[in-house]
This record gives sequence, structure tokens and C-alpha cells, in this order.
Amino acid sequence: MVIDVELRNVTKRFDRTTAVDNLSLQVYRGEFFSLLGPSGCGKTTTLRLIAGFEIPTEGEILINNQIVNHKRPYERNVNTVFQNYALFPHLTVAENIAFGLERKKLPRTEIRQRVAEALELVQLTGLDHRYPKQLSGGQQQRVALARAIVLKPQVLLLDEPLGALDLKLRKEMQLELKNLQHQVGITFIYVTHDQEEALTMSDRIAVLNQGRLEQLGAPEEIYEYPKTRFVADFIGISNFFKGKITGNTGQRLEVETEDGLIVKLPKEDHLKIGEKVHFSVRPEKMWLMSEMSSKNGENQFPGFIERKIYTGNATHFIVSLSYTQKVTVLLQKGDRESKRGPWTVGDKVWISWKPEDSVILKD
Amino acid sequence: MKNTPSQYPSLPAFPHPCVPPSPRPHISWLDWITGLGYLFLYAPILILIVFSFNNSRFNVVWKGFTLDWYIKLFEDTKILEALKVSLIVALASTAISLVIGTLTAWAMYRYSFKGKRILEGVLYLPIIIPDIVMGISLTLFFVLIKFQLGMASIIIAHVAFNISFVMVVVRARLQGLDRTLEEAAMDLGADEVTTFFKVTLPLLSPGLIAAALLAFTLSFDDFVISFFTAGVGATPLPVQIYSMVKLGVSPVVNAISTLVLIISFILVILTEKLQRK
Repeated sequence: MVIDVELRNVTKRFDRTTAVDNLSLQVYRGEFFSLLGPSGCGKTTTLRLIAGFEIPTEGEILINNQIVNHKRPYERNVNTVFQNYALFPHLTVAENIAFGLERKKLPRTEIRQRVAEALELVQLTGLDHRYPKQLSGGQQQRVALARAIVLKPQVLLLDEPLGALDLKLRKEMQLELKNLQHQVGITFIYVTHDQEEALTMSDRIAVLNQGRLEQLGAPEEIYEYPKTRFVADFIGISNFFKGKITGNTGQRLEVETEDGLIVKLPKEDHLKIGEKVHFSVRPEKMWLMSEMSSKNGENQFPGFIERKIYTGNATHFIVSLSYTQKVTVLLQKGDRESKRGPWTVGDKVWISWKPEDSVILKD
Repeated sequence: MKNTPSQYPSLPAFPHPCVPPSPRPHISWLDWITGLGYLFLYAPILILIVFSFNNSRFNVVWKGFTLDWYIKLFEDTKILEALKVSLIVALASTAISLVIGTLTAWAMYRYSFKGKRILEGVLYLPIIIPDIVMGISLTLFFVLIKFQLGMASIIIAHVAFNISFVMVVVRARLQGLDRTLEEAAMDLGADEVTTFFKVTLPLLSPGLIAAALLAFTLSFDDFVISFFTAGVGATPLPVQIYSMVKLGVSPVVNAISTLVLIISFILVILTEKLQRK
């Protein structure tokens, strides 16, 4: 795999705050790479470091295997789609898109042709002579995209480009962006705080928290096997348990949680009896039963339904297993509830999940 | 965010159905007072303009239309000389204060340094200091350092107050400038110089032009400060008009005032338009 962008132990400090903390990662050619995290996690700073708007305090940034730490933004073969689009208000759509091409001193006919192509690519043909403020938010977004893509950069940096659009338009643009990336074959580095967006679009995701890399991997990997509590919490919903290892028998790890539940987990060789562990279970991996079942032998616990939240295509049940331990169970419509339910608030139920569906977390 | 029309029920048409429309527009006391106010403000000016075309030496009775006073005006070498002085002073002080004021505003916008707040306050001071105080203090200053009063002293005095006005206008424009636009330009391959000329300057230019027009108008119209800082050889137009009025108001004064009024009016309108852009 060819590496387009590489960060080696990059740290960026502003006065007293550390925005990016010893971050190392590699972005492969042609991939859709997302930097995901809550606001203030350092994802935008990371993007600005790659673009050249910030200089790293420590570490190295490589583009195309060359250190570019002190290269100015105009000396780097990357282009940015800004969060607020940053279209030049005094230039028309066509002039905005031609801006970068003109800096390269390309012949006029070529510029005109490439602008036309770019406009077609983002489906804005015919709007050449409009000014940015005469366009809708979605159209401005496309101009910003065209202006960057027309230069055929090695890497395209996108800073929450869909953040200002309404939900429906956003979903459309997500698909379009993904298609566009396939068409042009450019590496995308995409900054977002929207976990769903990252999961939908990315080939790989880097989850950042407080400037540090929490986990890097494919969307399925991040969702199914979160490594840390932060990732499990930030991406989707998770039920968290804390406990001490009481047994390590054959195929199973046995953990006694703080409220005394004995939970079976898949075997982990490096954990010893007496050690403390955190683990999480996704709500959709749990199921509800009216009675204890002999079929689902392991991990069955009684509880009361505390709340029932209907969300259209699914129902969330908040079930309390003890005074302190509450879990969320998600039932898809037409799934299991219709067969055995319907349960309501106050009902006594049994919840259960497979040992394999527990994920042990660091910290 | 755009409001898509389908999302919102259409609002009822403007006079709301619940409110009965008033039967006929009537003139309230508020309209009368407003009218009187405007009359008070503009009637003297109108009279001045009208009498500049009056075929009589006296501004009392209308005796018929004439352009004589305008012809006389352009034959009067003293007035023409004063006009020249005023134009040179206005142009020079505008140019100097535009450069200094813009650079100062830029520095204030871009950098933070010790004593910035105080410097800012000091720079705005000329706007609020009464002209008479500024005029007297500048004269005293020039006399103290034995600076020959003349064209140069007027220009320096005008620069002193124009800088503040330029700064106010340019800063307002800078405040609205989006830094990411400059970043975007650099991202697209423009170096610092190109970015300044292709992005920063075009975005700033309405503010610069507005500031220049304002400075020009203020300098051209200024009487008090010019009166104190003018020397023997250089008399700006307002000071010249004043000395003419002392000998009795000739309709030539009406004519020159009308012209000055028209020029100022055009400049102010241009300024307004550019500032809103």
C-alpha cells in the first residue's frame, strides 16, 4: 500500500493547551480516511497541520514520503474543503473554481475546460456566473468541493463539509461524496464529529479524544470491537460493566461485576484472576425474555423495565438489573418483541447476551 | 440554512385578517413634527441654492433667473486659488491618512501587543475632541516648533484628524473579513503577496474607498481647524468664503456654497453605498 500522508509522533501545543498529542497515523492512497471525535478533540487541528496552516510543535508530517513540516500551504499538493466553504465572495462560481488553476499559470483554454468539467462533476453546470451569496448552502458546498478537486490534489482534506446542511441534504451529499471519491480516485481525509457519517463513508476511521488517538480501524472494527471506553461510548450506544475476574475456565472468562452479577466473557489469555476489567455490550446484542430460558444458558439476568422508548423502527428498553446497573436493550421492529412481548414499564424480564458479544475495554 | 417553503405553512398576507385595515391614511401629529424638522433642516439650504440663481445683489427678493454669479465665481482668482488649496489639501491629507490609517487598523486587527487598548483610545480621540480645541492646540504646536504656517501645516492638521476616521472605517471592514478566505487562497496555491492582492485587497477595497471619500469630504469641508492652521499664503475655500461673508453676503458665496454642497453630497452618497456593499 502506498502511503500518501503520514504523521509521526505529531504534537501541537497552543500556549497552554495541547491540541494534538503525540499522534501517529498513516493514510493510504485512495482511501476515505476519517478523523472522528467530539469538538475540541484535535481533529480540525490535525487537518490544519496537514494542510499547512499550523506548524507542528513536535514530530513530523510527511506527504508523499517527504517531510513537509515547514512547507507553506501553497507548496503542498493537498487541498482543503473548508467547514464554512470559504468561497471568495467577490468572485463568481467559475472564477472561484479557476482560482487555483490560474495560480498554476495554465493556459486559458485549459482552465476554461477544466472548470467546465468540475462544474459538471458537482452538477452545477450553468451556474458559472453566479456569485456565492446567490447560491444555496448545498450549492456553495459543491462549489467548494469543485474548487478543490479541480486541482487534482494528491489528498483532499475535508473539514466537516456537511456540517451546515440539513439532515436530508446531508444524507444525499454523503452518498454523493463517496461516489465522487470513487470517480476521481483521490485520497480523502475527512473530519467529522458525526459518528454515523464516519461509519457510513469511511474506509478507515481514527477516533480522537483530547488530542490522542483512541482507536484506528475499519468502521466495523471500531463499532464491533471498541478498544477503549471512550470509543464504545462515543460510537453508538454501549452498556458498560465494571468487575473483577473470578474465574478463567476453559473457553470462558468469569467476571463478577460490582453489583454481584456473574458474567461470562470470551477467554482472554493475558488477564489473571483478581484483575479488574471493564467491558461493554451493545444494546442490539442483548435480548429480552419473559422467563428464564434453558436454551440461552449463559448470561441471564432478571430485571425490571424502567423506561420504554419508541423510535419508529426500533424500541429501546431501559432495564434495571440492580440499584446501580441499568442497561439499554434495543429491539428492532418485527424482531423478537412481537413474538414474546409486548412488555411495558414495570414488567419483570430476563435479559441475556452471548459471551462473545461482550467487549473488554482498556480502562 | 435555507428555509424550504414546504416545511412551513404559508403566513397570512400582511394586513393580518384579524386587524381591520385603517379606512384612509391620515396625517398624524408625528408626521407634522417630522415635516417641520425637515423644513427646519433643509429650508435654509434650499433658499441658499435658489438665491444663487437670483438676478439681484441682495438675498431678499426673487428678481429672475441668472447664472451670473457662477460666471463671476469662476472669474474670481481669489476663490479659484482657495479652491485649488482646498483640493490639494484634501487630496494630500486623504492619501497620507489613508495609508497610515489602513496600516494602523491592519496592525490593530492582526496583532495584539502591550498597550494596544490605550493606543486605540488615543487614536480615536481626534473624533471626539472639539475642532476648536484641536485647531488651537495644533497652532500652538506649530508655533512652538517654529513650523511655518501654510499649506503643509494645514495638510498635517488634516491628516491628524483624518487618520482616526480612516481607522474607524477600515477596522469595521476588517472586522467582517473572514480569515479562512486568506487560508483558502493559500491552500489553492497563492503565496502571501498574491493572496493579499487577489483576495485581501479586493475584499477590503470598498472600505478603503469609503474611508478615502470620507477623509476627502471632512478635509474639504473643514473650517475651524483650517482657520487656525492656515498661513498667509494658503487660504482654503471655507476660510476664503468666511472672509468674503464678513464684507456682506454676495450671491457669489451662494454659488460657491451650492457647488461645495453638491460635491459633498455626491461624496457622502458614494461613501454610504460603498460601506453597505
